[in-house]
Amino acid sequence: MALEESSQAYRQLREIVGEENITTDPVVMDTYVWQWLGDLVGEKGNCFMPLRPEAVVLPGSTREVQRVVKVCNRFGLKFKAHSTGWISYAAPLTEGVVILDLRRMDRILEINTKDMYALIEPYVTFSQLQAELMKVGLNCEVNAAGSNCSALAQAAAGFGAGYGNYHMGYGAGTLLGVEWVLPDGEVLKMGSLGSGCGWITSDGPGPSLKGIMRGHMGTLGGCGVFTKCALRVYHWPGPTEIVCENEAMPGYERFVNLPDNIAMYYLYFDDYEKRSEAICKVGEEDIGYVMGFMQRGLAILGLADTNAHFVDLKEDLFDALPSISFVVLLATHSREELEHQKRVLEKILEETGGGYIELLQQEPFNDVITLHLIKVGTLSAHAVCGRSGAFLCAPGSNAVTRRIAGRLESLSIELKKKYIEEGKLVDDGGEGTWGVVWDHGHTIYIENLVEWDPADPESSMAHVRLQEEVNKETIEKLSYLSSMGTFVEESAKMNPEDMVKLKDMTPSDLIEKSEEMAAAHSPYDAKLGPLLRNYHVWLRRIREQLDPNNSSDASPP
Amino acid sequence: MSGGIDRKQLVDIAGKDNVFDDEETLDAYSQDESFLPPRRPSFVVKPKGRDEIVALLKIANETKTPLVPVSSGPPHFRGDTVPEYGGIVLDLSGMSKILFVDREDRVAMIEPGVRFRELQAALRKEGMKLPIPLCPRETKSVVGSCLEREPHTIPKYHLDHCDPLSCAEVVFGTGDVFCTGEAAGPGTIEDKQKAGWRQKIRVEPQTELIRLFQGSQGTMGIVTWVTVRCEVMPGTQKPLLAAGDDLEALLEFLYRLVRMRLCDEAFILDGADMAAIAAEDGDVDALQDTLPRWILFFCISGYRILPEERVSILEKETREIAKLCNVGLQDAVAGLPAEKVLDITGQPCADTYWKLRKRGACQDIYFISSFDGIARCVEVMREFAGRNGLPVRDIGVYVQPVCQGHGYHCEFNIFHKGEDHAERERVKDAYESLCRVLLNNGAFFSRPYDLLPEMVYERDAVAGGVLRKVKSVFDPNNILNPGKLCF
Amino acid sequence: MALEDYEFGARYCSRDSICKFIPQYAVKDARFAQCCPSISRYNVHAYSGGGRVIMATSLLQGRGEISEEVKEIIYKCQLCGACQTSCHIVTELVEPLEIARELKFRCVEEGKENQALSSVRERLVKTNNIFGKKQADRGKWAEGLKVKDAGAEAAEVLFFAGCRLSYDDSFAPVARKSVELMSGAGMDVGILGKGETCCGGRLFDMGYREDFRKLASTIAKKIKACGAKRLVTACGCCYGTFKQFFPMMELDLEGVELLHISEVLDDLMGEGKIELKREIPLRVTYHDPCHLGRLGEPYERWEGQYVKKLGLWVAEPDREVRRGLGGVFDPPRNVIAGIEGIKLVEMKRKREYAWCCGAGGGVLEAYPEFAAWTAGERLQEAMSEGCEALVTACPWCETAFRMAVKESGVGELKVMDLVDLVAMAT
Repeated sequence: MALEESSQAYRQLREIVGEENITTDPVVMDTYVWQWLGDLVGEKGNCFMPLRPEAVVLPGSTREVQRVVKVCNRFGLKFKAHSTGWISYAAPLTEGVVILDLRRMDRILEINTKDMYALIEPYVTFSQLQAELMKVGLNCEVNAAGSNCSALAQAAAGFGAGYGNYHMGYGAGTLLGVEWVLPDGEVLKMGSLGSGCGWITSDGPGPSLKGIMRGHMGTLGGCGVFTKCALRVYHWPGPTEIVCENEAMPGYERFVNLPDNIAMYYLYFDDYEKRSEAICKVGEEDIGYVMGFMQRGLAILGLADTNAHFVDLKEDLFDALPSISFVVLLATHSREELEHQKRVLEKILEETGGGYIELLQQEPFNDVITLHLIKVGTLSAHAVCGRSGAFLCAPGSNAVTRRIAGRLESLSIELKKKYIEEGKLVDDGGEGTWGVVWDHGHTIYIENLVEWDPADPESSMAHVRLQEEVNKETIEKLSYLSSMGTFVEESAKMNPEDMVKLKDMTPSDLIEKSEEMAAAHSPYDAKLGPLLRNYHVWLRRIREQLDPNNSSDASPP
Repeated sequence: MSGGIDRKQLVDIAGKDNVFDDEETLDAYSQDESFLPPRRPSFVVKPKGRDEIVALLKIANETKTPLVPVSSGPPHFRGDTVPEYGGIVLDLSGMSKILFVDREDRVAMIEPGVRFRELQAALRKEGMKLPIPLCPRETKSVVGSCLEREPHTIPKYHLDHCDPLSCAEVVFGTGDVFCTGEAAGPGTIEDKQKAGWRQKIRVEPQTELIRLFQGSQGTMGIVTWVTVRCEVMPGTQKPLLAAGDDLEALLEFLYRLVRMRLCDEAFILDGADMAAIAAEDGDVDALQDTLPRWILFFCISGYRILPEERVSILEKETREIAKLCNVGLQDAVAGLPAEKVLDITGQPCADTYWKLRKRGACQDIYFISSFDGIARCVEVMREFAGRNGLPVRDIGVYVQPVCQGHGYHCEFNIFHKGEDHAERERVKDAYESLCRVLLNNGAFFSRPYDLLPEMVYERDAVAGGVLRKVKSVFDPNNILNPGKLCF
Repeated sequence: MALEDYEFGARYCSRDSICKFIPQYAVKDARFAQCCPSISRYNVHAYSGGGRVIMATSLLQGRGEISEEVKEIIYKCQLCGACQTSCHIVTELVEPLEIARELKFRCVEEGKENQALSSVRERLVKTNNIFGKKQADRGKWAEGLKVKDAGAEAAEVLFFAGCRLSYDDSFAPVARKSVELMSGAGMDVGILGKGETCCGGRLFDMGYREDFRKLASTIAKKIKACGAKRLVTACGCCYGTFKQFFPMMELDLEGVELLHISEVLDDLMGEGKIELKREIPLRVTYHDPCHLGRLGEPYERWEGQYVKKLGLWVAEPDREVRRGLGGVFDPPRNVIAGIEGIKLVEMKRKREYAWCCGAGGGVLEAYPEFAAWTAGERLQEAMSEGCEALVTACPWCETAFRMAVKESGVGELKVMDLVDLVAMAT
């Protein structure tokens, strides 16, 4: 139900944001309802989520956001903010939601070279931020989902990982001061900002409220609105602008004058353990600038120009490439340092029995892979969303230890092959793993990507079933349950019909818990919470404190 | 105030040898070096494990008895363990097991009573080390230090103010037991260990509760173990010094070193602090006389593979930057070798704690500063000291880049004669006034102890309000260290 | 084609917002990273390429109707195609540009056309030119010019002036100089003069598909009838119409080579047939007109089907993904760079991801303030490179820029046509 234009709530919202920045038109609002992964949640076969918002508003400032939130509190409405809006939870998940599209808040307010931070609004994308940073010899961690994503959203509200996590820390870790409009409309200036001491840290005074602001997945728009934040930025030893040609051809960009203190090495290993060992050793030796890994099936999806090209390229390349690999970009202060790092890398390869994948270190692949490591761009989206229309990871997004990494990877690959053989999922040979390395090799982050056809309900559900199988296996074999995987699996159950079907497939102990918690309208929490010390109960209690009118659209997760 | 708890209840839980109510013991826990007025607890209990803590919390909740956890041994400086409302002090120093050290995943799990020296020894055997705060006192608990968000001296490994803390087991004020991060489940810690986890992934699905327990001074929950992230021991180290009167030049050099990730350890000390640390049992004042006003210390490290080659290349790059910053690099300053600075600052302080060596007592003022704020705050401090009759010579300064150079921990150490009542009162007044002036000049008191919370939360009332709401979730009866922070 | 024909691909929009920005690898700063005037100006997601795709799906599924608000969004789009260039870097299935155009067709079909454009259409259909001027005056720009009447005598090259050059006196010199430069270089040039009619491109992009078909068929016949081997135009919009809309609507210009004047000048200068005598000390930038640039790439009709292979939809037979790379980009740059004294600098958004001038799709006629805003953005971009002049190769772009210069007062920035620039140097 859209807000009536004659209603007081509508009139007040319109007065706040202006005529041009509010809509209640059903077709216009549908552009906020259609979301990636919508096929798992709403009516199967397309990506419209089940619920339309009451209105969409586009506030232009923190003050306007605050006033919108207060109107929602006053009139019993809910609200949800999003920036670039690229996943199902960006849409309303309950009735009575006002969507705040933060597109008008798109400024880089400050780049501080001495304290190495960038102060940004929600709609600044990684590519915009990175381009401005490189001009002054700095760089930022870019979410590997794509440089088209909001940098604030990843750090403050959502999740994701990037190649820069290796020495820049993971996304949420890069967050410094935050301006947060709480669910009741109060503005919390988190960290040093609240004391009037600038944006330099989000921790303190005393206990860090960052601890309730976000964790691995973030609150996904479900707890207030983040209107500004400072992100940590880092030294960039490369040129002030990355110049490349043929920019619009995926897979075939070429650098113009890339300096010789930057070089990409694509490495292969005989088994997962050796690869994990090599990753850790690279971290321990403190070489490398950014790094990550992608399996050959996924790499070919990214490198192919079109779907037809993928079919040919897979035939040509799949068997020519090793299965287990990782890629590291060296970017040093001097050529001499680069040569040293290369020698260290060679020693590590010698110790772990690895080698170089020469094929990928040559044209036509070298430049595009290097560019992807530096800027991310849209190659990831091209590899996954762009090919079939939908993708996710089974299991979700996983920060794991060295011992777990390979086992998790091989486990989901094996389970996936069955669905590929049935023709339900995209055939990447089962090898669609992608990952990065956090914090000098302390943590390995893995996503086992799966692509499916969102317009084909059987294909969508194949992913859900795979997810469920993987979850079951990971609980049993690895004492692990992915939050992201569970979110997706449980999201699919939001549709009452499918919920019934899926319940039949769920391990009985989980069914019980699901039913028990279904009353709380959060199947996600219901499944994950009991396995994780009922953390959701504590979160709910905190949320009750912060959101007395239950105004944030927070379910699920 | 001990509510309705009697000794027997405590003895039933912890055993008679671990419950103390003799005057001498109670007095020992009633005060510290801070300015908080002394207050005797009713009991001191030394629990042996989590289950005893849970049981103690249960009866404390029933009887609304304050509980004040303490892990480190004396001397305490910050007032955070002084039981402002009496009650029971839980001394966790007896829980001192190193539960595991894992080389492969570079992590160790420890109980609250474990101290730096013993942990470092255990790690060394595995070729690892824990990045530690500048020359901590011998009795300092590693867990305590982590929970207080004390910065360590290696900015490149300090990726977050949380570091090196990873996961923890916490007993909330409600008595519920929780494991943070990956340690939460599924399954028990044993199950997870068997599967290959090492409780080192800090992030949780939706929030990162561990951050609430850091900086909370024991007001949110009681931590029974933590995991800490460890790093490899370097194969070769090249420590270097730079010194002079020009703080800004040294800061510029430090900024570039850290920004470009050229070094491991890196910090600046003034002559007073360096003398206090380096004099060991010698004469601090005499050593200070010989030292320059500012000393920058840093160390370039090579690890296992081609360590010398790495050090030599990085040293060359470092020297080029030093030249640009007009800073001279030296192997020793005024007879103090860089090797020695590396050695003494990287381990706990044997014998007398360095902060007590110069005058017998020390009042710390520490805050997080922006780059531009450092020199300004030092100037503000010096002007203030001049105006208020504090001898500038007796105020040490320590500048530590944190979070890979994203902010700086600044510390002013006011050395004074603790036993001289008049001087102590003067220092107390100066401490409060100076902190207020510094706050107005951009000093962020991220860890407000002692007399500071009121000033700090008055400035950031919204955060105070939200923290009180969160506190009501984890400690609804406000039994955990009441009176601290904004609670 | 109909909107329904694009429904298949529309299902694969993942709402990644990539269509709002220039290709990610090409982003050089924060200020000039957007590619779509419509979403940049109006912000609501429906204004973006992806938003239009979702609106179309919503309408096709009967989830709502073309309300006044939806109609306004549909018409506030220049159909510049920048969204498609960016989108097609990621996917090949979704067709945001074609869908945006189909939505205009749908408005007309449902009688929900834009009133301002309805008037434009009426006079265009009546007078065969967009300004509603007399057909008899169409060739006046060439009065006194030594050029063949291609309707009466055979000429190897037919110069097609288009409405703007024909009727806007301020552009007459561009048409004249184009002919003079070609003739001077020894080319056999003719014009249709009074016999020329509008190419119809505007009608097509304003949503009048059938009117376009009629008008374009007429001019296509005339062009073929005159027997010229080459068709040259100095108007980017006319170029794009002939290059893309004609084959799209199966209108035949077979046997006639289409060239933009920039291509001709580039060749002639390369062959030394145009003598440049004067140095022009000027820092200039070049604006790629959409219909000459990304929408000026050859159009090949694809009639095939998608079949599933390895779980993906694969076009059979193979289908070229339209990313705008095959447009006319280098010739105008070569021409500018060939003039002594000129310093050619590129703007942040160039070639296939150039920002639109704002004039296309009926926006200039229906929403002049939006057109001016769009042009103003481009002028700011040119100014940010420290340019003294912005050179373009389409009179519609130039019109939009002149209007914006006047309104936004961006200082001393000159707006020039490529032909004018060459003429100045000769």
